[in-house]
Amino acid sequence: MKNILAVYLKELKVYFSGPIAYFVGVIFLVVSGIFFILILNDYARISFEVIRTNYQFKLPQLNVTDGIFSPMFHTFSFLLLLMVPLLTMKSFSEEKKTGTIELALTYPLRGTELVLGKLFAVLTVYFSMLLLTASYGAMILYFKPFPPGVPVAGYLGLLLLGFAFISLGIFISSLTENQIIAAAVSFGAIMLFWLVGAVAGDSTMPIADIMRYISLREHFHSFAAGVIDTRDVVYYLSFGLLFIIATLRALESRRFRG
Amino acid sequence: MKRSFFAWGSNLMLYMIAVVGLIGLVNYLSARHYSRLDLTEKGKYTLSDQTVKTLENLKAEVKTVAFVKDDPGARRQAREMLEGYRYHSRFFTWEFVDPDKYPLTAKKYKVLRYNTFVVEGSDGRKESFSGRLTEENLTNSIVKVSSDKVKKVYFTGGHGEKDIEGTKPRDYRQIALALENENFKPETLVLTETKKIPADASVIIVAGPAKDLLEGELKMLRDYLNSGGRALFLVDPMTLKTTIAFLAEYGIEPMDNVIVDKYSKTLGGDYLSPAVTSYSKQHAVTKDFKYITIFPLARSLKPDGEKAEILATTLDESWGESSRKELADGRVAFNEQEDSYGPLILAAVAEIENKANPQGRKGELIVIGDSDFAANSYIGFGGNRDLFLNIANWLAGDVERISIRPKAADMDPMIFSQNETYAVAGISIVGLPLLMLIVGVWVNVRRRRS
Repeated sequence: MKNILAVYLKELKVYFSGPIAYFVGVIFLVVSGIFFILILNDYARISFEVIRTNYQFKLPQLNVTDGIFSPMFHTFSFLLLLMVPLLTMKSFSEEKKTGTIELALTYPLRGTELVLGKLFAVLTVYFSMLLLTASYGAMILYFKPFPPGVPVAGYLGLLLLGFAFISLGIFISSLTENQIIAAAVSFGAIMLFWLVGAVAGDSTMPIADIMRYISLREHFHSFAAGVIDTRDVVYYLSFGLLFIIATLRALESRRFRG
Repeated sequence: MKRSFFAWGSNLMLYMIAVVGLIGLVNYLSARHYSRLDLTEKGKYTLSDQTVKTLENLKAEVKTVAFVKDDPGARRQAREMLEGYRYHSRFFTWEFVDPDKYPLTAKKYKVLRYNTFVVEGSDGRKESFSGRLTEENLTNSIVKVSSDKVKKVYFTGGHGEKDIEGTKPRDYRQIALALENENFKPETLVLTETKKIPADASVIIVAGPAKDLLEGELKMLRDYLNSGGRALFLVDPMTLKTTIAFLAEYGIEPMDNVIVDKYSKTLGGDYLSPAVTSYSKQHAVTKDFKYITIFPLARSLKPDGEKAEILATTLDESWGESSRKELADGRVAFNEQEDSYGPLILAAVAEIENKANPQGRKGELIVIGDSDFAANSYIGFGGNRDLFLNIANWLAGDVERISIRPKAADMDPMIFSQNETYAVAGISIVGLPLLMLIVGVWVNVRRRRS
């Protein structure tokens, strides 16, 4: 535990004193800010239509939950998918390249502690970037009070989704010395798990059920709608766990071969 | 060394298979036993108690086929709701069908529009509705197709009515079988042998009596209708007197004529088999009915506009022939003085106040000026069978419809002034990223200096 904390703090320091986290954060905030304004404009446009027709024009989605938060969390989830590979690419690739990994692995430090420490550090960067978007909520609150349940579910969903993204990214980073390759492959792999459900569509074949189930995206709908479903929580946790275990094996193989 | 590397590799493989298997198992279990925490303001995604109870009481499979366009956006709401239903009962299954991609399935379920939902019970009973998928509609349809209550339909006997067991062309065996398929139990009831209409009667059908019903029998029927009963009278031309007076009390008077329709000959009937293509769009029985029906040897009806509503009318070219001599000679001609001209009313419905319990359900009486249209030899023609079953189903209509308040959040419009829009855009697109950029630059510059 103490070792995890040590790795975590060290990694965190590296992230926050280097340029990558800020670079990724700025890009993320600009793009999500643009989407936020688009969603808000859309909402205002429909609101205007509803008021103009004296509520004759019916649109049940016209409330802060369905009209703003739900599309906003979906947008975030997709943007983060693009950002995470940039955060995870250096996790192990760099150390493998410089050889410091051998050093790290010869410490009285277990692989699990090393991987978890790094993972929590990326997760912290990820979530602090995300928490800045809470200011959007504050701005909405200024115009229209809303119940807190839906954003709570949304941010929890994004946190779990991030856990899944990051474990996959870290695993891929543990396979290669090249950061660019790590980022590109992570991006491809995350995208694969993101879209596999859409490929299955609404087919009723058993394989389609499985494809929808293993798809990262399919498990996010409930969170975005304000519902916490144990199935989705279990899925994201298992997805992350699977790749943590895979990372440990990958590191061990290096130790064995090295 | 090489060998041990191989051994290590296969060990790793086994290890990963075990891990994936274990995680798969956990997920399999979690997909089957889950719970949901609904944090929306009104518990929008939480099903009502009535729905949960209905689902938990299911004892046989109920399948919902959702005819929704193959578009994830259009299907999401339906998917969420249907999945929620499935959670509460293993007997509840559902699937999506795109009616354009699977026209055969759509045809099988008689689906004509997008967003039609068909709920099918294990015995083949179907309920469908179109439009937005609401909990109220879905739950009521499930109740309807899964209720194991068999609806009793009594055919009166003893006055030369159609025989529900008979297999001769003018008998009613076929329609009785069709009723059984709709979860009815048809039985013959001789009113003189009973004191009262049985309490389990869903519908009483008086199908083409040759002789009038006795005064005592009519009184039973009157009491039945006045206390929320449902009856269907099929009255053939050139018969009955007191029964006609009885029907006239409720505002539907059968006329003393025979409908002549020269057009129906082109449809394979004869002059005396009027064809009907025009049905009331207002009344629930015929609202969606689109088939042609044929009524061999029929009389027209005169409904009282205040008490009764028209269900079906004949073609404009038809007329009601009241001269028996002409009919007997087989040479009919329209006579302006005596005959009434088309379109003639062939079916009508009257709603009857419930005198026993004014708050209770109302009585309903449907009268058709013909009984042969549902006989063995005509039942297969056009929409005859469907019309009869529609009427029987509507009359027997489920009394208790569950009402579930829709939990959709209220519309909550919000508009911004120009300045507010600029402020929000400025903060979110420029302010926040700029803040982060400044912090990033500051940190990195300081680090480099040190």
